[in-house]
Amino acid sequence: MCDEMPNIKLESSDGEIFDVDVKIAKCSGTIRTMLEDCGMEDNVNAIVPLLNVNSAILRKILVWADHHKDDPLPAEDDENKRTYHISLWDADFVKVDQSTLFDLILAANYLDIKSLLHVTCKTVANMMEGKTPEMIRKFFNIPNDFTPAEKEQLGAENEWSEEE
Amino acid sequence: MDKSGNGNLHELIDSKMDRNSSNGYKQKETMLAANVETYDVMNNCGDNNTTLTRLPYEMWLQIFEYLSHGDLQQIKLVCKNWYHLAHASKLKQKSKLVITRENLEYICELMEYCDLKYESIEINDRIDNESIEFDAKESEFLLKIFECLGSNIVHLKLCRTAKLSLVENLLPKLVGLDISEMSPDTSRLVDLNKFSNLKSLRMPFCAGLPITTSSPLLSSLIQTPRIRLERLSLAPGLSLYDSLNLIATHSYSLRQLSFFVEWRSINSTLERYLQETFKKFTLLETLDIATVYDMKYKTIILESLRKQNPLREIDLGHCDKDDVILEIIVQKWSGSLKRLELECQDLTEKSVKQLNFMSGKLHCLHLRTTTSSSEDFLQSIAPRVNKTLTGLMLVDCYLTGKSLCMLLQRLPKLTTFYMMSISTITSEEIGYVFHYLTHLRHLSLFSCKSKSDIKCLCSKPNIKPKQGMQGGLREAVLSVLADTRVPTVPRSGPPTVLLDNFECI
Repeated sequence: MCDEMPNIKLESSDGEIFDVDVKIAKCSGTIRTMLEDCGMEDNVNAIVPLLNVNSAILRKILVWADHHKDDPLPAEDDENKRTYHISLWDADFVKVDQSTLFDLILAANYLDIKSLLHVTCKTVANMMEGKTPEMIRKFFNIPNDFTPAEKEQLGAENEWSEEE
Repeated sequence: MDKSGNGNLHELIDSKMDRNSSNGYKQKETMLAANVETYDVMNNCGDNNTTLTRLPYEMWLQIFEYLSHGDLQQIKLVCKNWYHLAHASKLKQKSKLVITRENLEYICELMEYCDLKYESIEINDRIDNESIEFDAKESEFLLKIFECLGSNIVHLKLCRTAKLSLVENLLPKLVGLDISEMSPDTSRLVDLNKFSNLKSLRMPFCAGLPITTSSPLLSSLIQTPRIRLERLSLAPGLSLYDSLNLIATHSYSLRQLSFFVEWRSINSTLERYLQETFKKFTLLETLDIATVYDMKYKTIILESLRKQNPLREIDLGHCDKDDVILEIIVQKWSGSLKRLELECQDLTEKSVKQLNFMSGKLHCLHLRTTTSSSEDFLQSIAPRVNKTLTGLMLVDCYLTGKSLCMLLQRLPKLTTFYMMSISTITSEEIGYVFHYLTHLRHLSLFSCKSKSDIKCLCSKPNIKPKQGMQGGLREAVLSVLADTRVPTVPRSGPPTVLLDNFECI
């Protein structure tokens, strides 16, 4: 491999081509594997098709990847997910509407970008924290499909379980 | 940005739900409702389109992993889909099912149509704090429950007289057993040989009724080496010789040890045995020797432990020659140690140096010193800005005004800050806490006195949390409450300030 980082081309689901630094693209485990396994690394004209990511989301993800390009790889044993900390920059990055946030989760999962998946999932979890079921239903627009009798039972079960 | 978008969503919850949520929880909700700040996420969710289908189930599951037990309980009640998701085994580790006399029969009924396959179960047979043996009918229910749920149980806690012998054949996956609250007369009869996967054990509290080598409990732990314990918590009731026998048997596999000893002085044979036993460890990560009274034996233990043990947490308890102990720790484990608990009269100059040396590595420090000067204190843990330390618990440390301000200024990453002392805390000092600790999530000013009401303090513009405070303060205890970890905290009259859950964004 040559010293200077070459660019590669990523194609979003709606056909837009992004010219991206290989180092940035390699934030994504999926792209990393594609490049390494398919020997595309040396091929300057290669276009990597990303069938599940549209251009708007891909653009956003590239901004994220650019900001985090020098981060060390996250440790494999992510200790306690509850204490996972979101940096200020990341917190700001995920201040988007719910729909975009879900798209980011899906894309982070598809592209295998673990730290972005952490941040986005944790952000959604934070939105649920301290809320009653009714508040959560309204917040995420989820219909209540329990019958009153079922509700009664579930309440009882919850009463007997404790924090481990 | 954490607690956002709850605007006018605070709804009346039906009486069932209301009963479910603990007091603290309810307060939290009320607090949330008071903190109205609508966030644009709210307005942008498509009205006729449920978000439920926006993400596949695996993704929701991943999100739920970040939630606490309490929040998961709420998630279960949102809709049927989430109810089933929240029962995934991954998430069940966070909850345990508590079986009591009152719910025995009901659980039996519920098992028929609900998935109650919890990995962690506690049997509590107490009535008004007194344990009374289950009668024949109750035992029958218990047996029925374990026939159905036993094959999933990984952790089991038995309180008092609940009979383990009744269910011992139904627990093939048992890894953790807690019999610390079981009565001495029955706990000694527990035979652990039935549980070949057992890795973690909390010994019963048998003060006054010593466990002898001939008891099935001890013989199954020492004489039959089928079990390899990784976590062991000792309690009164074992002689030092038996304790050491027990530890020595499992020393090659133990990762976590909570030592409990009643002895104050020992003969030279036992002293040698103590040395040999601790030399055998290679995997120890957590060591609690707070109850070892004599400094001499604390020193022996730490000297005998080999450097290769990846010690991450040490609870030293009281140390009067803290500099010697700290020197050993720094020499051996300064690379791995993350958490340190220490009580001492006075930080000596040497200890200040040792703590200073570890200041860039420790994540959590629990310190109790009565006479140290604030300069020593600053010099030890925050000679300059320390971004590694995230948890600081201070007991009796006399820090006020300027030195407190300096300390907090140098510890910008603190998420947990406990300060327990009998001194008065001024509104200016509380102001420093909010101003500098922008990552704070747990705050306890346990038994600190304050002249003004904390709610009033927090509403003052000069001590409003700084803009950009992340995550939001999760919990603030600014009251005189019982805290078992610090048994000797002086109780100073009635609480002057009381606030269980304080939310701010």
